[in-house]
Amino acid sequence: MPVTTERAVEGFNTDRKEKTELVAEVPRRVAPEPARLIDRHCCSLFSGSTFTGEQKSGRSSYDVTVEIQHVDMKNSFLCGYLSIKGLTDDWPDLCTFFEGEIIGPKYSFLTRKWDADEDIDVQHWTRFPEFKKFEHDFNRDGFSYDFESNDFIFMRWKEHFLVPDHRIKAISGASFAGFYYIAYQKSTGTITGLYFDRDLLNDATFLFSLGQHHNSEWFQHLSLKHVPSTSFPAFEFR
Amino acid sequence: MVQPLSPTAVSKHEAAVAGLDALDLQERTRAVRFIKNNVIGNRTKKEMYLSMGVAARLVEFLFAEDCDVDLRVQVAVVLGSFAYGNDHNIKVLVDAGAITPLLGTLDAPEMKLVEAGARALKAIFQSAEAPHEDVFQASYVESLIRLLTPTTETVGTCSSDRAVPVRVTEVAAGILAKVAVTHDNQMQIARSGAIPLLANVLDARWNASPKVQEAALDALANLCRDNPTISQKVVCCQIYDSAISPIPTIIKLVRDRRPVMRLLAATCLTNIYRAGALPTVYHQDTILTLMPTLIKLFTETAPISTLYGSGWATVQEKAPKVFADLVESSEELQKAALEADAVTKLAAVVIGESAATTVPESNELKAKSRKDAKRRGNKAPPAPAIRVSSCGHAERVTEGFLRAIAAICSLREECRKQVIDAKLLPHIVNAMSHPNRRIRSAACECTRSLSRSVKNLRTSLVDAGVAIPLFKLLSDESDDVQLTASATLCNIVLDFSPMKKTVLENGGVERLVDLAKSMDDRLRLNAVWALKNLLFQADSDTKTRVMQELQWDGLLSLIDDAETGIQEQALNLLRNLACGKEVDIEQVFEGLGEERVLDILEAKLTKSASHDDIVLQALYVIVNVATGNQRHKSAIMNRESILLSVWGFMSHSKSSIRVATIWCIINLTWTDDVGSQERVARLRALGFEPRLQNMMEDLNMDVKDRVKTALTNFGSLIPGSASPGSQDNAPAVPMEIAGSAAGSTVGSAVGIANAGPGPTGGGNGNRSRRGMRGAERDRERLGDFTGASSVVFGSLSDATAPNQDA
Repeated sequence: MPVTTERAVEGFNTDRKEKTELVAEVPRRVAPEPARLIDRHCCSLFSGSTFTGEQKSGRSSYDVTVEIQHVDMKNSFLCGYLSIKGLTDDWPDLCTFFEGEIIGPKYSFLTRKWDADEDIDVQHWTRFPEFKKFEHDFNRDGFSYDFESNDFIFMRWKEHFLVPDHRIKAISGASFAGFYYIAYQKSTGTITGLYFDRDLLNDATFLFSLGQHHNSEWFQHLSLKHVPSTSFPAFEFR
Repeated sequence: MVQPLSPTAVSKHEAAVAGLDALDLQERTRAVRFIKNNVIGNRTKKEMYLSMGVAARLVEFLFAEDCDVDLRVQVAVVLGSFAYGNDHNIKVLVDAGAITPLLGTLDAPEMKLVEAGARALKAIFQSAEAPHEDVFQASYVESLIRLLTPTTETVGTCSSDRAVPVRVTEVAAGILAKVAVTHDNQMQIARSGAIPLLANVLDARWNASPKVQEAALDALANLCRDNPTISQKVVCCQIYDSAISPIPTIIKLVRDRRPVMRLLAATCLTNIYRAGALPTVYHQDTILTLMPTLIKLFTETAPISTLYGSGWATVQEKAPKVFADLVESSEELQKAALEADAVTKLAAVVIGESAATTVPESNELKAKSRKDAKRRGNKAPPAPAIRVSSCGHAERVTEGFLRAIAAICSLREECRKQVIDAKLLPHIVNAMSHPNRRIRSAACECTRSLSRSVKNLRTSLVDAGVAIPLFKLLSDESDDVQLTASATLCNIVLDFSPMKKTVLENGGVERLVDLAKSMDDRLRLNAVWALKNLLFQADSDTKTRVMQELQWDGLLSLIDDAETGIQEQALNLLRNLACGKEVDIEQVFEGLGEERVLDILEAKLTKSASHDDIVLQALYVIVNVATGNQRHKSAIMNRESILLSVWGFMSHSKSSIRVATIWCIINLTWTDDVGSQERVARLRALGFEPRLQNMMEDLNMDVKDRVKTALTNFGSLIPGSASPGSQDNAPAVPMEIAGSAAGSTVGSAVGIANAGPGPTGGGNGNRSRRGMRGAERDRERLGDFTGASSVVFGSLSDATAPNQDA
């Protein structure tokens, strides 16, 4: 329901009788002040929090830093920057902007986009042991994951463009066409992620059939840990 | 096109004016009739007569004893004709004192005089500038309300016993719709009993008189606007004592055949919904009916009435504004609007509007529009006292649609994306420099909605170049425009916005500090909000620069502002200033003075204890200051009243406030900080420890986790009881992740846990790390509890990780 300001209801929200209403001074109608946009965050997922760790890709690993820019649990949404060091020679520091869909009442485990079908979803989600208890239910009608009361929050992170220059569309030797399946554990402040990209998967399957690739190397995975902070600035959209 | 009047014609009119002064009643009546026949529908002659000064004389006739009813009726008709659709003429009539005597006719025994008087009043009140206060004097409101009960007979047969023809009810309702401007107006009209009578005419038995139903809906809509009490009254009243709420009837009228009826019923329902008075049982129906109806009306060009303010209006002008009112504060409705394809429909009109030179409108309206333009071209600007809003139909359409766009994307990222994808942004940016201030303001409101997104701030808004046009609007001649521009700037100066730099380079800080000293509360709020956002994660240079401009005294007066909303923002600004490095805290202590900082915090936590928003910010100032050096920590410790306030807020109903209190304690008690033992002892003496223990089972997970950290600092938490599964502590530590992210800290974290309780718990394992930053220390401590409950991702490729079932 729309929020009304105190002033708008002042003077008649009380037991005062009509007589006092007559003298109550309300100069003009006061339009309701739009709702505040105060972030609702969750444990170490808050606007400005940082996670560090690495991304493993086959036998290589790269340092990764994730800076959460904005968290809006109410809308099952967050976004931030993901920086990878040393992925390509041309871009020793590659930073992308990503948006996260939080699995819950708004987004289901089924991706239904970004080239991911149900098989792909199951294949990836089941790699998270915490998901196993939902494996048989997640596709049931009316199922909605409760991220509020569970220790784990599942997400999909989709990178959209480069930071700082969003106009650069392609980088040789790197791609952000796919997306990450993410599991975040509140109690430990850890994030694990699995990267999926249909084209990469096709290549990997091909190599696997030639015996040049180990099964597990299909998955480029991300392991991050929250960098705790003890002081907290704050902003709010207006 | 009008021919110039010939000299002979003029003398004829002079004769008529002279006739008004005749002693003979019949001669006077003849003169008034002559004038009436000449002025109806003739704008030039209306102006001619008014310039000959007839208004005052005619007004006299309304209450002169020697005038009969017939003459008064004629006079009222003439006055009504003068007023019809012309703000300037209305001003002349108002100055001639026409309103009160016309109100006097409403109680006349003769219905034809009542009708003529009411019509004249309705014409006058069409002008937003006409003073409506007189209606609320004496018992004029009651007189109007007596006209709201129509009888079925016609005026001809029943004029003597004051039977009210339904067309008079229509006029009376129309007047009430126009004069319910302030909250007091609304309440007075409602108290006089208008609501059930207006609801009665919505009944099906009046379906043959759609005009009266439209007028009643218009009146109800305006009475309900931003008024929860009256909205409630409407919901609860009964049409003809039928025990049925009027809401289903109004919903039915939203589906009426007539577009104007649909619009007015939709407006009424929207205002009741906005006031929070619409019962939930009707929500589904409302969404299903209202949303598609309003969206279809976006292209409906039917005129709303033949007169409206300075000209005329169409449904198309109004529908997007009602739509905006409906969806602006509801995410649910914004989603419904998106699904109903509203953005595409809005975009089609806005983009069509600016692409085509001709406005999509009916031929009749085009003709009117041409006439309007001619008129404006030939005439001197209107008298300043009544400022005719000179924006024409096309501009009102543009404004309405921009308002709708701003509303639909104010809360949901998907809606913002649609607006961007519909390529509306270039039009919005253009409109930000439109000569019409209402369009500038509406366009700026769109930018504001779109700027509530990190993605847009990094991409489309930069590409569209909004920073500079927006910055110019901060100094706009219109207060409304300054207001939306300053609100938008709050988002533009955020850390992740590349436009922050542009604003800073163009004197943004200086301008914002100017605005922070404005007399207007709303501007001051926006300015301090923007400065606060600017200082989010800011470096010391930016902090210094803002404080050089704002001055510490300036900040202080904002912290003590009369408006609590401004106090909250100013405290948040202080919180951001004190966040980060020790030098940042030192700067705050030096700038405000140590005692003053503490005085502020003490005052806010006691005198403003009931304002949660203020308390939260004050607590976080403490949290941030408590990360400083020993002197900073001691300053807080030495103010017992502050500590006791913190103690009190630990049982606050809001978890966000409880978390903040725990962080205050955590930051004061890190065990390897100088003086921590004394601080722990002092807090223990004040009873913090049992209080924390009581919070171990807090329902909020975040609170619970922080409480554990705090109790560890007190050395009172028994390791192993921290969380289920932590008994088999050692193997469960997420080796791989911790190994790369936290280096060797895992080992010492276990060390702390095993060090057991005691005032110096963990000290040994840590001595060598005294110089560590707080963040790293915290990580170690958190490792005690958090590492235990297994991050199972130790190795992805190995499905049989040992900690899987921990």
